[in-house]
Amino acid sequence: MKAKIPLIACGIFRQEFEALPPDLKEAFSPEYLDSMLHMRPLELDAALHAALEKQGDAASVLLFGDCCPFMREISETMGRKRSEGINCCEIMLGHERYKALRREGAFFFMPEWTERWEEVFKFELGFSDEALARAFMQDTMKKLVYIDTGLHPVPYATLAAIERYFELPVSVERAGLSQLEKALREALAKARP
Amino acid sequence: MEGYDIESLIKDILDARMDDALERLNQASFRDGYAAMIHDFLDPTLQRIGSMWSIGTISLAQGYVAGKIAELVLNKAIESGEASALAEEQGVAVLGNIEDDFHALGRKMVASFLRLDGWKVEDLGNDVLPRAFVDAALRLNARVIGASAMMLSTALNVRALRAELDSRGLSGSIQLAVGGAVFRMRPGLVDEVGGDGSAPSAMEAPALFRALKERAKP
Repeated sequence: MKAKIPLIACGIFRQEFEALPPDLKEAFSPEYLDSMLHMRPLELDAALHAALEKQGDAASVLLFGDCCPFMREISETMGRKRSEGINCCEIMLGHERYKALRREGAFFFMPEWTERWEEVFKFELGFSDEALARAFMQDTMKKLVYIDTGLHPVPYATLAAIERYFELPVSVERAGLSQLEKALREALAKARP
Repeated sequence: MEGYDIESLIKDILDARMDDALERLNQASFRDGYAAMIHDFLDPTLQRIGSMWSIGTISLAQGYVAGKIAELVLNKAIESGEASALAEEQGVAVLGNIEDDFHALGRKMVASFLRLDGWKVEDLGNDVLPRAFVDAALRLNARVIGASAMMLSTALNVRALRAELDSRGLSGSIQLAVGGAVFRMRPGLVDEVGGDGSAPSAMEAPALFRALKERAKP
């Protein structure tokens, strides 16, 4: 039996990772970091360094987007590999679909951040004033897209509250887990050739 | 001329009281004209906010309010017919987010501050290919291109824009400003991607663009 590969993952993927096929899931020993570190990139850098330091020279996989300024150095040394994708949304949707939706002016909500949307916008980004939040979002986005990974009932009531807050239409994009699985299998193959 | 209450204006912006901030600026422009208000009141305020932004002590919402105020003040100056008195004409700047980058806010803020500084801004939007940047700069006789990227993986796409300028023999005559969060956190990245310069915040972009324009070979 092959040794498990340490997986340092953003907490936004926790439930999705646990639902992957057993052969893939069991190849890893996961450790999750708080997804809210995305809002503080230098703290994320430090948290990744700390998590990886515990693994020493062991080959490791990072299930993250390009979410902190030194991700390249962190993920390209000592047998470490990062999942392909600029952020968690691209990892879940795949490059083509992600880019197509971005070109349509989409802002994405992953399931975990949907639950925490008020914490993200009102407290982390400072948009506690509804009119200001609305102006900000409408200045740069045309629609909001919930990424349905298939593991959670779609939180229609929360999405309606988000739609009201920003006055932008919300749609549901059924992503499933196939792109996540693909990204992780590729990263695993590179880490354990 | 009575002194301006910069501290109170900063507080309005940081408390996201956009209407109060605009009222303060309106009163100043009514009394002294737009040019004086912008030069002696709004600009120094935005410089202070820019410094806070570059060391990470203000939120995205507070930075957004500052950018929005610059945009609204400029629009009001244009409506009043005083826009031509605001600042010396600086020429054309071409702006865009580099290929695969869709983080528009910083770029839009830079556009507002440049317009306030007398630049005619050609904003190409998100996900702009190198050729499109250079074609626009040539068509409009722009001396400075501003390419924005938020993350390292997209910032590295600026290298293709530098290669496009090189291959068309335009490096030097068209200067390349680069900006976005990752450039602030990785200062060496400007050289790595072939940028000619960067500014620590959108509010400080006009000074950079002026310096680059001066450096551009005729």
